[in-house]
Amino acid sequence: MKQTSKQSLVWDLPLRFFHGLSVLCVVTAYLSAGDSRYLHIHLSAGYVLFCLLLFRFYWGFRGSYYARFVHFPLQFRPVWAYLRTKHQPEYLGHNPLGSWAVLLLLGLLLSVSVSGLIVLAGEERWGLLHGHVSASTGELFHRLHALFFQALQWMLLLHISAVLFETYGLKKPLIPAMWHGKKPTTKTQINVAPHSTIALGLIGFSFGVAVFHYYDRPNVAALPDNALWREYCSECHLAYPPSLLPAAAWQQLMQAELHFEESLDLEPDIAAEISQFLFANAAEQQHNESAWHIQKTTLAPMPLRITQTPYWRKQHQHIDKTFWQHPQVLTPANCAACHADAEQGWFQDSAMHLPSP
Amino acid sequence: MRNILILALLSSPSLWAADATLGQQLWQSSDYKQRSCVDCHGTDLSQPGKHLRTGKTIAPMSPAVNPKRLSKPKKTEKWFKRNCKWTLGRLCTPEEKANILAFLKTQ
Repeated sequence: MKQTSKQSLVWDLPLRFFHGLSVLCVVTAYLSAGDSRYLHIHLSAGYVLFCLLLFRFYWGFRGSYYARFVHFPLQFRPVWAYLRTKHQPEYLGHNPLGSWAVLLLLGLLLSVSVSGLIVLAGEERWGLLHGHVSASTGELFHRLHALFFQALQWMLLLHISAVLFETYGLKKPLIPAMWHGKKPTTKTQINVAPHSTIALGLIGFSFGVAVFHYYDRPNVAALPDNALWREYCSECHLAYPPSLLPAAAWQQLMQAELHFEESLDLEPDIAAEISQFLFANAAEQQHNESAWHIQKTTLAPMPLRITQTPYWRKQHQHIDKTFWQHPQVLTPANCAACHADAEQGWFQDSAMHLPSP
Repeated sequence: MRNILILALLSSPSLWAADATLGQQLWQSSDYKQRSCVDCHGTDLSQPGKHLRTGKTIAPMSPAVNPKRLSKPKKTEKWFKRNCKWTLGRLCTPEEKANILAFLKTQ
């Protein structure tokens, strides 16, 4: 006699969409990480993930029965029992071990996305938290962002192995259940509504968030400007923003008899005003990412070239030597060849483009 | 500076007849140091040049294309001073400057 078991809906549509879209976001963010050319994609994925998580936490309190955190069997006893016995009670929702895994995964995903938002605000002066985070906090959270992702990676590996094991080893159809939402059961079922409208709303909202952030641009403020500095310095080269060297380096540079191998022959009053502007807005006085790193890592004896600061070298160490001979580049001093916002002095990751060979 | 130029012009017969051909020769010569004016300003002066060292674009030198050129004697004198030193390794003589100005005006 063929055994018939009823299929009952466990995972409502919004929950399944949350799962699928989260996977999409994590994969997208992973593939687009660490490369400025894809920063917009990385950020869009992160923003969507953040919104999805907000929804998942809301759904954990107000969603359908199995989605609610209070219905997760998190107590010590069921977890222990689940680990050591083969005859487990049937769990329609998450099993005890799975419940802990889900909470941990959600926590890690939230940590990764929130730390990402803090990095974005601190280092790129961009995004939701812009203006509330210093460059030093941004750097700290950049490390945490990477650390959280490491933890998330291991957790995901565990999650996938456990689900594969349960589905194929223990013959519990976890994978199909996350697809169509139904699990076979003999127990009296609890009604779960499909919530299709909310699910569609979630999809639409995620898409909107992704598109909005793809076209979002950094909201950076104009840096200090001075007409004489801009006019005189840009006669031969980019008017290098004062924030790219410490005041002590500018002082040496302005007092030197020769400007590298050239004599500048500036009138004393003009030289005084330019010097004053450079000292007053040197790396120590600015709060953007590059200024913060340069004032922290540039030590005496002061290098007189920005390209000799430890921070500049570190940031450009992976650029191939032959690249500097590119006809559009000529020299590492030609910042504007790759940094589209060099004139403004911002040096945002998002404005970086290597010229094509 | 304009007065000095005028004075020099009046006092030195060779400045009466500034020679554009000599100016061109000086502009294009590379006998002096490793550099020549052409290295940064290019051969076609109606086109922008490019700084040999920094890659910075330099506006065209031809007054016909770029009316700002040679319009401020103070600026012209400043750049003669700096660029003669950097390119030829010495200051230019009043005759050389007059020849170069004459040459630039024909471009």
